[in-house]
Amino acid sequence: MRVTSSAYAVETSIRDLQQRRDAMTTTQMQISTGRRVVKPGDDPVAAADAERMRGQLSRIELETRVLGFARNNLGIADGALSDASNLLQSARETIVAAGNGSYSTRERSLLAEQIRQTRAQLLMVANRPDGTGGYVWGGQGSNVPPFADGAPPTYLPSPGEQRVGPGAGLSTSLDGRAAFTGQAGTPPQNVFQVLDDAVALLSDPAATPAALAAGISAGLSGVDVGLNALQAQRTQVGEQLRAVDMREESLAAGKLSATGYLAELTEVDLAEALSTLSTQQTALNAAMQTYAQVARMSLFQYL
Amino acid sequence: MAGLLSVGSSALLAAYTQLQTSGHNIANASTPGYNRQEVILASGGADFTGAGFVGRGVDVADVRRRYDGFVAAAVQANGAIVAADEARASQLGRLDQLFAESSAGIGAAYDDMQLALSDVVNRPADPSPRAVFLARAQTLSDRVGAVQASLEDVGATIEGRIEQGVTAVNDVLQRLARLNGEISTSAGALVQPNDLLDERDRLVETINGTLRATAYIAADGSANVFASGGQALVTSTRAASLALRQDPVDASKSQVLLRTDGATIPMDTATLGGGSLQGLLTARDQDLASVRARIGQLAAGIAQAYNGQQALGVDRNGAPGKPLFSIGAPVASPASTNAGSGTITATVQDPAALAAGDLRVTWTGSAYDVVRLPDGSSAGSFATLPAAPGATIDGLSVSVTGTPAAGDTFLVKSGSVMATGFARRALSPDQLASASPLAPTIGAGAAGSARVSEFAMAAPAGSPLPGPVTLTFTGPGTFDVGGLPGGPLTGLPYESGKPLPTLPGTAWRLTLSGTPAAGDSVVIGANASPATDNRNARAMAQLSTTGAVGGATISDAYGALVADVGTRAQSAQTAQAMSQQLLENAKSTRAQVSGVNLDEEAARLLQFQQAYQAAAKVIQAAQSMFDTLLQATR
Repeated sequence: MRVTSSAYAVETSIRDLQQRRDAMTTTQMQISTGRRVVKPGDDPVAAADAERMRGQLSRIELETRVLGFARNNLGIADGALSDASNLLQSARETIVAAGNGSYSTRERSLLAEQIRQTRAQLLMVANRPDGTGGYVWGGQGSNVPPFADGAPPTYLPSPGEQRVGPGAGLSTSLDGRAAFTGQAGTPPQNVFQVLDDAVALLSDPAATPAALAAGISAGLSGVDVGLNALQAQRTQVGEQLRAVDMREESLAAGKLSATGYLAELTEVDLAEALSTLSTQQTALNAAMQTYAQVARMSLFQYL
Repeated sequence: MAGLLSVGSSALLAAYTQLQTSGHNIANASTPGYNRQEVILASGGADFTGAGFVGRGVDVADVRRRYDGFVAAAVQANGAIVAADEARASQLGRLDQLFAESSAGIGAAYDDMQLALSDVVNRPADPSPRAVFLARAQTLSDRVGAVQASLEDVGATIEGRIEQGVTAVNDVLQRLARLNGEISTSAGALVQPNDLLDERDRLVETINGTLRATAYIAADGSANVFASGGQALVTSTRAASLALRQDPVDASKSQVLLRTDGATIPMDTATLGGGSLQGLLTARDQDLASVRARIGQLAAGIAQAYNGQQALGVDRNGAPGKPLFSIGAPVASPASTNAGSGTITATVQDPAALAAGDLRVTWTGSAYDVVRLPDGSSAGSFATLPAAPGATIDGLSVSVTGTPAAGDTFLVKSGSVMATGFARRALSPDQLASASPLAPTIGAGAAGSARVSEFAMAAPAGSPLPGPVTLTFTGPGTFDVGGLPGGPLTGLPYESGKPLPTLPGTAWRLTLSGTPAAGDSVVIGANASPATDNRNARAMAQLSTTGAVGGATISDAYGALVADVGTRAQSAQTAQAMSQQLLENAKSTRAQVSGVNLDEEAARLLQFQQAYQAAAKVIQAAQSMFDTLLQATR
């Protein structure tokens, strides 16, 4: 082969050296940014997958946020349900105690006062805020306390629940009508009405033993219906809390795998990159040295 | 004596010419396009004497360049490909850079908006998540706008480069035509004008940098140059010229024309065949067009999905939702060269079905051929447009009125222009339609366990809202409906967990689960608490999982856009690297044939110097012989 020392030969050598330097700069940039794929053109498939993974991570974050919110609300609802159940339970015990035939009118009126207190506390629990601007028993949504006091108290919001989360499976408010004012039964029973009736009966000095017995029995069954309704909601809340836990676990696993895949797609393997860099350095060094030596060779030196 | 002197002086002259040529070679070692020259010597013949032939010395027959026409043609052809690939790769590099930072991209902005929406779902009554959502929607539209602006900028750069290329190549064509004149003038002599020929080849190579040009060398050494499509660029001393005009079909871009011998021929990527113009046209009409169309499709998909969901809901005050995003309208126009009177209109019917591209409609005389741009796939052939009342092509309703002439062309720009108008509309946080206009309520005192498991609006409820619809169960598996605009229905089947049959005159879909008792009822009436309801916001949050953009989710559509840009950029880089390698090979072959080797020239210098000295000795010998003779006869 005839070798030339024309401009072309010099250009070729310079371009070779530049390409080597360019490759080295790319590796150096990968090391300094920690990313293997900087532009989509570096690896289109990885770039698109990375975009998808980023979207997936964002959706995981979104769902985690919703779950956290639901967990908070469900926890508060569970506490409120527990408080309401305890209050109803204590009212039930008071009503049972009032069935004692040896009690005087005055003693019964003391019990009535106790039930009145319990009923007032129950109304406060029923109107408990959820801490995020709503109410535990806010139904389909309410800006004001859901139960307006009266005889009996009325439920203001649309009955139902507010829901969030995938498939709208998590309640962030409970149906106050189902819990307190409209339990299944004919006619629908308002648990406050049941307690009001018990208070009226026990404070009535003229109540006959027969009327007392009938009223106390009705009161007990009414309170039991209320307790059952609260228990049903508590089961539902417990189920949902369990679902939140499970979902959070699977989200955490999903996040781990998506983060790992994203790193695999776009992040640089430092050990590999550093070894590549040192190879490239050696090669560039060698190329420069040999070029300098070969380019110096000329017959003119000896003429 | 005179014979010896003339032999010596001819040798001296030959060696001097050789030395001069070697010097010329050394001087031009770095001159682009220079082909090394060498002196062709021939014996000067001989005089006949009785004793035989006595040589007369040496003649310089020719100074010839070492040149291989085939190798030069290969360099020109590969140069045209490299120029095309380079021009395309450089523009695609800019596009690639646009989508480099994933966390600052459209996809990330969209995800941020969805995150804010999840807070609205959580706390519909709270005004601050609503304001955050609107701000993030603004960021999304800003990002789309920024990408769109950068794409316009790339488009403008390409147009500028095309113009530069046209101006520059016209100048070169003129120079080549003039050079042809000089070459044919000097062709009268029997020897070649080497340096003019080098210049000729260099000019042909330069033309190939802008468009593919094949040179046919005439007997007199002048070059006749033809474009890839066979059009004459330079014939002898006449040069054609390139010009630009507004593209008759798409007025927003320029078209390259070739003016030759009074004819004006439009040039496309096929007739350009290579060179930077071809690369630029490919980048503009394929790559940039594809990205713009995808951005348009994405923006249209986002706008229609969110505007549609807004329309299904009511805002904090119970008023029907207003559109969240505005979006550009498609632009349909006839080509300026159309002979007929046909006019075209296009409107978007189904934004989710929009394709990532524009449509070119051509009337063949019997049918409208509709082709998708930029990929050129057929969208069908129709005798009339629209093909039937309400018929759509890729989600667009296209109609042509008037009488087109055969061959008339129309352009419907949808994807490429719609993103231009993508912007968030001015809404107050209260106007985010987070609530459902209607809500189902289980009637008081229901004895059964039926409860609402799903309720969604399938169409806007209308304003004013329709009256309440009451479903009354007549048993665990049947129900009657009252309150429908078309009168009551009775005995409809109920199955737990299955969507109820669609009731005439209603815009909602309801799914109940559980076992109802006879007499239980469900009332679907106006939402009593729009300020605190999150149902429509929840449906809006689900939009990220629906096929809003040509069947793909918004995230996937953006991912596909990124992949498209990346694939194009990568393939352009690969093509450039490959064609560059081929060009290097061709240039290396040419350098082997025609390049100057300084060592070789050094050796030759030595050789010619010695020849010169030897020739001088011959003359000296002749002189001393002459002196000897003179002294002998003194």
